[in-house]
Parts: sequence; C-alpha cells; structure tokens
Amino acid sequence: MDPRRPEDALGLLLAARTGRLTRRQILSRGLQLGLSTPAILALLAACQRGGETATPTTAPAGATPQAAQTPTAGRRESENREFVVLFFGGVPDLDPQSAYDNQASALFLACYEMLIKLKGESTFEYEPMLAREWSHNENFTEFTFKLPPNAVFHDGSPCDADAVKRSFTRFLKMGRGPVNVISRFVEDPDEQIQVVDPTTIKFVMAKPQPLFLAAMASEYGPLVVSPKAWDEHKTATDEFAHDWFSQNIVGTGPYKPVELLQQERFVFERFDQYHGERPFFDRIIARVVPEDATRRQLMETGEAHGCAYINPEDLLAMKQNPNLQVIEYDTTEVDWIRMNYALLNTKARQGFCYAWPYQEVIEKVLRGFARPINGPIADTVIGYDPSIPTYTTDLQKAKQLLTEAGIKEGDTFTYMYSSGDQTDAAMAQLFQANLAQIGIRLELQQVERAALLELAYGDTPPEQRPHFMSGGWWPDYNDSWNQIYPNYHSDSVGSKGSNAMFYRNPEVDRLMNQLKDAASEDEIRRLTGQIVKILTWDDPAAIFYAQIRKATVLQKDIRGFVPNPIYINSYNFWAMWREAL
Amino acid sequence: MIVHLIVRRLFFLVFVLLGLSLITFVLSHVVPRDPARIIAGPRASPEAVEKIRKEYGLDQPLWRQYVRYLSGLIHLDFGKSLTSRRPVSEDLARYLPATIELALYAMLFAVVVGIPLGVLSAVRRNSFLDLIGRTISILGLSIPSFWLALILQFFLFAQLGLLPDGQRLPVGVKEPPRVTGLFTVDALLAGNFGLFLLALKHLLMPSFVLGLAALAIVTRMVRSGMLEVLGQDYIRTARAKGLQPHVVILRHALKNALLPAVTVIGLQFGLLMGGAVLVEIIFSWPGIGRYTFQAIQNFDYNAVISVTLVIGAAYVLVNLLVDVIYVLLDPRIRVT
Repeated sequence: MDPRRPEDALGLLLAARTGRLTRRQILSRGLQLGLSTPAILALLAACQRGGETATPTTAPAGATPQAAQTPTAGRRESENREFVVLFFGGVPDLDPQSAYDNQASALFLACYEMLIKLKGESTFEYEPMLAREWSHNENFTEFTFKLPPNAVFHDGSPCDADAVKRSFTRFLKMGRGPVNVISRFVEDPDEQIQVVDPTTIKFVMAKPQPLFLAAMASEYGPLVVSPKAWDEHKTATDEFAHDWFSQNIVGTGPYKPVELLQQERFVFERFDQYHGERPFFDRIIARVVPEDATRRQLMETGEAHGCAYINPEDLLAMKQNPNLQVIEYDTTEVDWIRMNYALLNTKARQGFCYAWPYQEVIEKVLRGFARPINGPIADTVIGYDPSIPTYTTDLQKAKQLLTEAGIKEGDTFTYMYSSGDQTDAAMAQLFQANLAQIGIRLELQQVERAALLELAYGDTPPEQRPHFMSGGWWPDYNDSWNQIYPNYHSDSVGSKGSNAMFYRNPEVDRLMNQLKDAASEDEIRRLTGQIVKILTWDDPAAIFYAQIRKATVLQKDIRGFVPNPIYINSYNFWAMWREAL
Repeated sequence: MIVHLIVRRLFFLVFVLLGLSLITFVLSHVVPRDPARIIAGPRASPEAVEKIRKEYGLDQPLWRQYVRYLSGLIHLDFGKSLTSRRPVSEDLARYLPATIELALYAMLFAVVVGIPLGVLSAVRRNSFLDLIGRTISILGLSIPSFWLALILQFFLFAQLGLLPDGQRLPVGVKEPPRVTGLFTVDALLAGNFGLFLLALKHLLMPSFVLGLAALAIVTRMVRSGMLEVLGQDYIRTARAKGLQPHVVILRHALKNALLPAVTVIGLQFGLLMGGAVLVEIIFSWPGIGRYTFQAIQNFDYNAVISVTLVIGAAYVLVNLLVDVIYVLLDPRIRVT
C-alpha cells in the first residue's frame, strides 16, 4: 500500500506515522473516509507516538512555512523581548463579555482567559487556559473545571471558583453581544453554575450538551473578568460596570495593560503574578494603523513584528521577502453570495449557482487564499460532509435551469455590494460577465457600508432587497448550528439575525431545531449533512464559493506562533518567542 | 469698535450653532439607519441590539432625543459616543488637539513658505524664481494628498529612515503633561526640549502633506495681490521718493496685498481642520478626522453632530479673527 495515497484507515495511519501528512490533512482525509473525530484523534496520537510530525524543527531563513508552523525546537532566545502587532482599526469596546469583534478578541487573548482554549491548530481538542483540568460525565450534562490555587487578577484579587461564577453570572445577566455563545447552554447561572470548592467549579446542564466545551473555548464571551473591579465600578445606572470595563482591562491573562488608547495603541506588559508559564515577551504593543500600505511598510522595515491584516496582493509580494514569514492557514470561514429567496425560485437559484465563476474568483480575486467548498460548513468544523458534491461553473447547465425557472434572455437582476470593497466588486464583475454570456443582465449596485449593513440586518422586506448580496461567516466555536442558524433559519430573518435574504425552508428549520439539541457527534454530522445538502443543492440558499485561507505575516525570527482556524487573526502570545538569529 | 464686533459675532454664533445642530440632527435621523444594529454587529441577538438602543436613548421619539441633546449641550455635555462608548466631550478633548496641532503646523508651513514665495514670484515676475513659485502652486493644488503621503512615507520612512511613519510620538514615549493638548506646546511648557523636537519630527511629514495645497493657494493669492498692488500709483510714488526696495515691498505693497490672502488663510484653516481625514489615516494620526470618519460610518449621531458644531464654531471664530486682522491691516475698513 502506498502511504502517499491513503485510501483507507490503515493507509492513513501509515501516512500519518511517516509524517507525510499534516494534522490538517489527516483530519480532512479521515473525514472523507467517514471516521469519527475520536477515531481521528487516536490516529493523530498514533502519528505523534510514531515519530516526527510534519512540523519542521528549524526555520529555514526566508522560507514560508505551509501552515501553522513557527518552529519551537532548540531555543536560542533573542534579547529583544518586545512584540509589536498591527491592527487596522481601533477597539472601542474592551469589555470581553460585550465586544463581538475579531480585533478585540485578538487583544483579549493577551490579557483575559477562557477556562479552556483550543489546542494548537485543532478545532476539536482543548488545553488548559485558566482551568488546569476539566472533566465531564458520560452524557455531557455535568462539566467540572479545576482552577489553579494561585490564580489572581491583574488587580491582585484572587481568581477562585466564586470569582469565576460571578464573572459568568455577569456575562449571562448583562446579555450583551456574544451572550448566546454560553446562554444556549446556561440559562440560569445561579442554579447551573456551582462552586464545589475554592478551586472547583461545576456547570450543570438540563440536557446533554456535547458542544459545551467547544463553546467554553470560544474567544467571544466566556472570558473571566475581575468581580472586584466589577464591584468597585458599578453604578446605579450601570450595574455591570460595562462603561468601565469597556475602557479598562482586569483579567487573569499573562499580560496586564499599561496603556489603552483606542485609536492609537494598546500596550501590555508581562504580568508577574500570572498563574501559568512565564511568557517570553516583556511587552506586547498593538498599534492601530488604518492604512494598508503603511502596515506593509512597517512590516517590511521591521518596525512591526506581526500583522494579520494584509491584503492578498501584498501577501504575495511579502512572501518573496526573506525577512518575513507568511503563515497561511485554513479557517472555519466560508464566504457566500446570498440569493433572494422571495424573488428567485428554486430552479433559478440552482441555475445561478452553476453560473458563478468559482475558479476565477479563487485564483484571480482571492489570489489563492481560498479553496472550493461544498456548502456553508468548512472542512474544519464538526459536521462537514465531504460526500456532498461541490458546484463548478457550467454555463450550459445554468442556462437550462434558468430557462426552466422562467427567466428569459435580457432579464435583469441586481447585485449589491459595499462601495470601496474591491474584492466584492471584482467578483460581481466576473459573475456579470458569465451571466452576460447566457443573455442575463446583472446590474451592479454600490452602496456605502452602513447602508448595506442596514439593508442586510434591518427590516426591509425581501421584495425591496437586491437579488444577490455577498456574505460570509465563521462560527464562534466548532459548531455547525452556530454557523447555519443565524444565516438560514426562518427565525433569523431581517433584524432578528443574519438571514438577509429571507431563506425559509420548513425542512431546514426542522432539522436545525433538532441539530441545536443533538446529543452526540454522530447526530450532529448526520443532521448537518442533511441541512447542507438542502442549502446547497435541493433548495439553494446561497452560492457557497470559498472556504477562506488566512495569512499572518511575522518577522522571520518569531517562533512558536500557531494559528487556529477558529481563533482567526489572533495570536497565541503566551507561547510565542523570538529567536536570536 | 473691535470689541463691539467680537461681542456681536459671538452672540450670533449661538444661533449659528443652534441652526447647525438642528440641520445635522434632522439630516442624521432622516436616513433610515439603526446605529444600535451597526454597533452591536451582525452576530448580536435582537435582545442585545435592543439593549443598546435603550441605553443610548435611540428608542425615544426624535424630538425628545433632540431636546435631550440640546439640554445636555447647555452643560457642555455632548452625549455618549456610540462608537467609542465614552462621553463625546472626552473624545473631543483627546482627538481635537491632535488635529488642531496638525492644522496649525500645516498652516504655519503654508504661510511661512507661501507668503515669501508669492512675494518673490511677483517681484521677480517671469524669472526662474517665479517659474518655481508657479510650479509649486500648480503641483500643490494638483497632487492628491493621499498619493503624496504614501510616496513620502515610502521614501522618507521606509527607504531612508529619516522620519517616523506617523503617530504623534513613538510608542513608549510618555506624553507631556497635558495643558493645551498640543504636544509641541506642552513639551515646551514642561521645559522638555527633547520631547518638543521629537513631537516636531512626527509632525513634519503629515503637516507638509496637509499644508501643501494651502501653500499653493497662499502663494497664488499673495502673488496676484502683489502684482496688482505693485502696479499702483502709490507704489510708484514711494519708489520715486527713493525708498529702499525692501521697504516699498514689505511696508507698502505687502500689507495691502495680504488682505485677500488673509481671507483665504482663514478659510483654509477651517478646511484643514475638517479635511485632514486621509492624512490622519495614512499617518495613523489620532485626530478628529479619523474619529469623524468612523462616527459617520457607524451613524454615531452624537459624535457627528458634536464634531460638526465644533468645526462650525471654529469656522465662525476664524472668520471673526480674519475680520479683526482686516481692520488692523487696513484702517480704512470700518466696523459696521
């Protein structure tokens, strides 16, 4: 058997053991073979026991690692212990239990902690963060977390089980931004969160919740804040001290704040009383640099050391720079073109799916930082079903389906996008060109960003919306329901969610409701597969054109960086270090 | 007389600001947008959006929102920013001085270079010097500021390392004790000349880019004013009396030629204050331009109205200053 072409589980094991496949490839192939996550985990463990993984141990100067790899072996540490990271915009809300944006969570991972976090590049394995260990009963109704006895907040107050309970209570009762991440599982914090002893806290569920750990590892919401700071700063009109927490940081993370200037920079220094391993960097500085070209220059001159916000064209150029590493990684983000469910019948939507320029968009617009996908679920998310086919461009088939849908040559459709969004504009033009070949006119409408957001997430009736609008999503944690429900359930239409094109399919609703309460991973896979098949083929909701690959640019001497498909654009500051070159 | 003029203008300023606030408020609210949804983000639940709507009083009738805003304004309370989640007055105190300092240095550059250049261009009309002056005028008006900013940044920062990429001070350098909010002034007040030079170094590139268009206009205005004045009889008389050329030009010609330029300088300062957005974005300058840009994107009513009022007041005050300078420059002008 050729281990380079693993066609069964044994072949996959051989390939894994000989280090011919990365963890990502093992996961992907395993899923294609129909293996469950535990089986794949066993395979990965075997792979690690069996010898070297695919991760290199030394950094070839100027090389661009393929994924998730800044080597860690043989440390020769640099004297320079400052890490400057670039953001594209300010972070107005620093309250981790309220902020729901990607840049904020990247910042939070330096100073706040969840109880557990995702392990390395895995989307389904966990490792300690604030909690040292955790366990759950067989039917996933009780989850127990053990805290370190020496954990303290930046304000010096102890972080014991009671403090953690109070923090979660604040999060759930305040009810802001990402509250749904945890409130789906814990509706009554007073009853469901139990302090067993000062270092032990238990979460009790009303029914089996196999995804609770995944949610607890989300970077959106379940971060622990200081109850002492809450008490000190709450007021009669602000019982959760949200105003104060939106401008200040008091967590348990490895770095404590020194300077927090919304539009300028965020400076952190190492927290000496941190309960975990001492991180390498003395200072983390997050600079706000709105201009693309300036960010690139700062990276190329070495003034900055890390940036996750570089456009694809600059990334291609920076890949050639021997002083930089461009770390590419798969994410859980899937991008799509929403189709107006009220204005387009099933045949029409199927026809438009065939008319989309898949390959051109990935190669020419996204510059290879994406790959084809067969539905709204990325292959890094539990529930991905490799057996569902992927659309490819077929204009003949498109024309046939559109004709059957009653669409005539010369009919005009509308595609709306945000002015200034060059990527969306380029995709729309390619789509327009394809449709023109089969006699269909596509009118492109540019509107300013706020107007587009308002239209998408407001209460404008579907008849007054365009036929096509672009969109994309990644789940807050590894959960297909979390990805699909806000976008395609009929309860999420208009201002009630993100179902901007009023997709309403009773069967999909029914399956999603079942999926929400799925008690096992097998059930999640089965239900997700059924939903994705309908959303993609039987009654298409959108044109699912790409699973996005992201890239983080680092100086060549930075080591220990491990990107995660769910912690998109974030950094594992606690493990990163700089090599003396 | 001048005091009378100032008092009257300040009295009318109240009505100007009232009108401005009403127009901006109505215009902001006729656009059917939901700032609460924009702030909460697409992932937030309807309950979370509703919470923000209530918190910021966006669920109140429009007239009540306006009355509440106005009553706050009387106490210099501009309300709370939806974007920064802080009182707008705090944001203005932080970001406005940054833009004022940038605009002041841009204007200083335009005046200090533009007036002599305009004078020399006029005095040496059609000479090589005049050619240089006119070329600078045309380039200053025709080069887009964002392009110039990027090019200068590339050469002076990335290639030559002569100037910083942007920001008001390097990361890690402590700001001077706050008195005016203008770092160069505050550094001097604190007696820290090294910090003054550092802040000045950070100002060089952005203020040059911002001031170039103003420089071009000032140069043109001074040149054309000088050409007109130099042809007047009283100048010929002054020369015939045997006065030194520099006395004729500086004391007799320039004083009169400056009148139209002063008006332009006043208007330009207002434009620089309101038009620094691109320069602030490229140079990561934490000014009011970037703040307003974000506020407009997020339909942050309180911030947009407050900045409009502040810029409007600045326009009125600068125009008042121009009028006062007019009277001082030309005693024939009577205050009416």
